[in-house]
Amino acid sequence: MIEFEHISITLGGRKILNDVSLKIEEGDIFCIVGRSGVGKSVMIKQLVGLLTPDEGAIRFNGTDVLGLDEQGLQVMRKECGMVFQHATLFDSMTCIENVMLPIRKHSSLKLHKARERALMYMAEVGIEHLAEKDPATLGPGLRKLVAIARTLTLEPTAILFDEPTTGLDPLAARKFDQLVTGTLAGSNMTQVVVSHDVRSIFDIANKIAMLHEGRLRFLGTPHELETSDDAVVRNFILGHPVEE
Amino acid sequence: MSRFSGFLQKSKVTVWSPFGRDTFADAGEGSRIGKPKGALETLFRSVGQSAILLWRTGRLLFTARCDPGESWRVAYRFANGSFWFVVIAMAFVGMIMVYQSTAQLERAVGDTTLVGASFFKLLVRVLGPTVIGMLIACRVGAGIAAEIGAMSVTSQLDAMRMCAAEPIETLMVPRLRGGIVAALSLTAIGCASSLYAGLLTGFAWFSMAPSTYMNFSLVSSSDILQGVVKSLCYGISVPIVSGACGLSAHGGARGVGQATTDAVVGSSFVIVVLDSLISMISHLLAGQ
Repeated sequence: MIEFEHISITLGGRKILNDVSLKIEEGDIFCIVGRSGVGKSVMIKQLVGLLTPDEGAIRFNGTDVLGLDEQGLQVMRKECGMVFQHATLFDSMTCIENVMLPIRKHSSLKLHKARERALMYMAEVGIEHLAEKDPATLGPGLRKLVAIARTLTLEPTAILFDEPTTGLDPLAARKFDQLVTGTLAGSNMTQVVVSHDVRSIFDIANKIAMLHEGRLRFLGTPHELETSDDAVVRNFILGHPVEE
Repeated sequence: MSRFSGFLQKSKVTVWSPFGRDTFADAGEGSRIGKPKGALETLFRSVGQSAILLWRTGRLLFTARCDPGESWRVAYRFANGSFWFVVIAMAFVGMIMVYQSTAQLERAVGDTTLVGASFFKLLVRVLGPTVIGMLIACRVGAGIAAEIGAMSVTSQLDAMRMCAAEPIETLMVPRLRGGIVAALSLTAIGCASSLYAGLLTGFAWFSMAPSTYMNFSLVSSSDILQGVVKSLCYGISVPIVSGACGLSAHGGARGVGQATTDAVVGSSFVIVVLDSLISMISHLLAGQ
């Protein structure tokens, strides 16, 4: 279970999150939505210790994340993987070397064993044929799949996606949705997806939180979001300018 | 030094820093161009940042869990990439030094027999390590800062940490090892290039006999030791200062550009300071 309690954070002199509390149950596909710059990515980066809030508490399976040192965070990041917005593959390595990196760092597997395991995870997301490719030659959709395979190698119990469908063509975006609701959901993995792709949200989420002006504006199911009377929520779904 | 002004702004955000979490780096766009609080504070922060990075990288120098081949690849890239740059630049330095000193001595004293001997002493003690250190700062230091800076601004360092690949262990340790190997080998090669360019200059312009020029009588073992120590220190300081600039880069392409500039300026400044310090210590210890 993931818990955010009364989280506040100020970045560059601007209050990004203001007293936000959230609880994400095990196995949930939880979407955090909102306009650009409302602090969606900041929220999940705090969970894995890449950012630290000014106030509040964050717990992952009962562990106080803010109390962890760098070693503790490394252990925790094995349990909770993250796929970044721009895939963030290491361009000096081939795709399989990218996927093998966490395996080699976290285990004492020999090179050929690590390679076999990396190929297995690449096959799981359907990209085993890209093993020897240079990431720079791939499009954003495939790069993202390589990043997902890299994260899966850690066998996390939770996975965080930062705007996974941004920059993808509609087919690649739907392929991602299928991956989330199919392969990943099948392994009972908790998935937190930060997105403003409304179609994707309704396709995959079983719970949605909407952030607006640093505060939690909405928390509920996709159906509740769709039928919300809140003008801000409705305008977000319909893509209209925000009016209070 | 303007990049370091960003460090002065208080923030709870960690872009990434050698200090770990919750340090001075601010993710806010434009924070780099924030008002510096004072040149002295800026200087102390920069020195402190590099010192802590040196401590954290040095601790892992022999125990890091990174691919051992990577350090050799980095050393090869640094040394091989700078080879002709150092050889040609040092050849010109040798030519200029020998030409000027011989011309002056010929005019003033009329005896040029000690040109080679005094040039070698100067070359081994100061000129070789320091000029080559500066050249390495320009080429290798800029490369390190740009590479790591680009990784920093595109969240690759965060991704690396999510893969349990600590950036210091994965990026800095091979660069420090490579920097030491490259500095020592390039200093030897550059000094040799300078020496032979001086020989040709003396022979071609002043008809100086090679046997007169090749006079190592003034070069003592303490001169060689001083040159090696300086070269070693520059081999350590250039990757550390440049790495610190790159690791703290933020703010997109402009941030990478600023980090690269700071790396060259900072590394060159450190080389000059270290040169003076080592020379002074050597003078106190050996009296020369």
